[in-house]
Amino acid sequence: MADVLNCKHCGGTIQVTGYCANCGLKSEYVNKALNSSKYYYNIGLDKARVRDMSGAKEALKTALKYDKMNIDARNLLGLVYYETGEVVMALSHWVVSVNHFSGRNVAKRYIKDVRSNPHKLEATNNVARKYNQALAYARQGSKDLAFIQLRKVLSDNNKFVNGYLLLALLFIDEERFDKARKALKRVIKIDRTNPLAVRYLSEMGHTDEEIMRFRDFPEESYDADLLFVDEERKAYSGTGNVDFDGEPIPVGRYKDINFYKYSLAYIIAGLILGIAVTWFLIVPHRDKTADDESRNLKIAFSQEIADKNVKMASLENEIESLNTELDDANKQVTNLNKKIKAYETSAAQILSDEDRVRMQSGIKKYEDMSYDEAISDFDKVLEHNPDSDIALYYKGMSYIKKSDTINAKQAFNKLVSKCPDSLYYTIAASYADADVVDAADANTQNDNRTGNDGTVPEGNQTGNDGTIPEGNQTGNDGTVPEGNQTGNDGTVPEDN
Amino acid sequence: MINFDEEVKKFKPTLELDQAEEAIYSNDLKDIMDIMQEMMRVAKETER
Repeated sequence: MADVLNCKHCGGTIQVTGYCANCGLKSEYVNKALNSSKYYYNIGLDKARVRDMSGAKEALKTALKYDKMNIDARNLLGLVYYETGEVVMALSHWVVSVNHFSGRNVAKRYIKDVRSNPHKLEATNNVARKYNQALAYARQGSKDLAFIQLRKVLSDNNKFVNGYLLLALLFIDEERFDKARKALKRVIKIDRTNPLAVRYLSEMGHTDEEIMRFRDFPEESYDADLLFVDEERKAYSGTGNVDFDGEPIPVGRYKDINFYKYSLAYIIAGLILGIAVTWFLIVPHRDKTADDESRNLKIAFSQEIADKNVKMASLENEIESLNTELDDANKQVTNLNKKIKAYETSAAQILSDEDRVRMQSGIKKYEDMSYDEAISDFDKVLEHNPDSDIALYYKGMSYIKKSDTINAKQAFNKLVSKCPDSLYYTIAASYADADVVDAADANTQNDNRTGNDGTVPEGNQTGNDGTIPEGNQTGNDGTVPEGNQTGNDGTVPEDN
Repeated sequence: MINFDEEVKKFKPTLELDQAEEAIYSNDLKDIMDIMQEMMRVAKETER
């Protein structure tokens, strides 16, 4: 049984003539086309492996021209578009691929990955929209706006080759060749043989060797990100992936960061900062608080001392006034005592009616020179009033008239000692014994010294010099001057 | 020397998502075998 060959294009039976009974194509041509397709696919695959994206695109497109059913070539072309930032083109090829072969097709996973994140898909669409806007601005001459849009584009998709190329063109137009070179290097990193990038570099004066060196730079040290960014702008670019010129900012490698060293540095810096804060903020505040407290305490004590001083001054004034009042009171007491004494003396001189009659009778008898009878009357008066100075005086004078000096002295001694304030004191003192008179004078002086003012109650004054105040004088002969006799008892001699 | 205006004209707008359907149809163009079939069909019609 002969083998039946089927057409590789449509699956129909191949006739003896070599043509397909179904599609009419000659089997030889079909095989040739399929082989060519696979050939270019292999070329595209090799170029894609060395990141020659432009060459891979061309080879894979050629492969699809020979066989549009070449699933591998179509999927790889989609990957190449995806790698160069053209996501929509990549998706379209993957969709066609799945449409042609819905079996185990890796394009299904690619589509799923892209569509699984709606935000990312939207961001991808925004990138395309902004790039188109930037292109429109560039064509209109609004280069600043084009820069702004490109910055956003490359921030969202840092593999977008067309964006870098347009950016490089803008830089070249502004003669910022260094920036343009960096953008082109980025392109070269993604797509090693990008013809536009190579051409721009050539136009900028780079030789083929230099371009080859850019292209073949060892991957280990080819950190294009570092070449893109100038240090000042990187410092202010924050956490974004692209700097002001739309250039990606390098992210430090994990292995380069010595966390232990930085941690130690942070701890030391924290300690220094803490000490500085304590020294410059907390300690002065505490000192100030202590100073304020001591100042307030001093003020409080000063106020208290001032209050005390005022109170002391007022109390001293009060003491002084009280002392003055006490002195006045003592003077009043002394005066009152003297008055009391004077009243007592006066009271002692006040006689009853019987004694008053007997006293007048005795004085009458004395004047009539009936001395013994007069003495008898005076003794009777003295029985009831032993301190009666009048009775003692006339009794003493009666004894003098009788030349009985002994009894006379007794009577005058008693008068001097008992009645120092009497009107008859001076006369009595001249007859009395000297020691009795001295004792009486001493008592009188003590009394006057006790009374600080040294005053003598009115009506009882006797001169220390032995004189008798006018109107109260009595004659040395024991008689009372006429018209001047007044009895302390309030009686008046009959002849007056 | 690079002429900015000339160069920028060479840049083509990239496709957006709402243009994906159009891109899909354009990417599913005829390959060389479709062209040969078409040529044979035209030749047969011409013989008739």
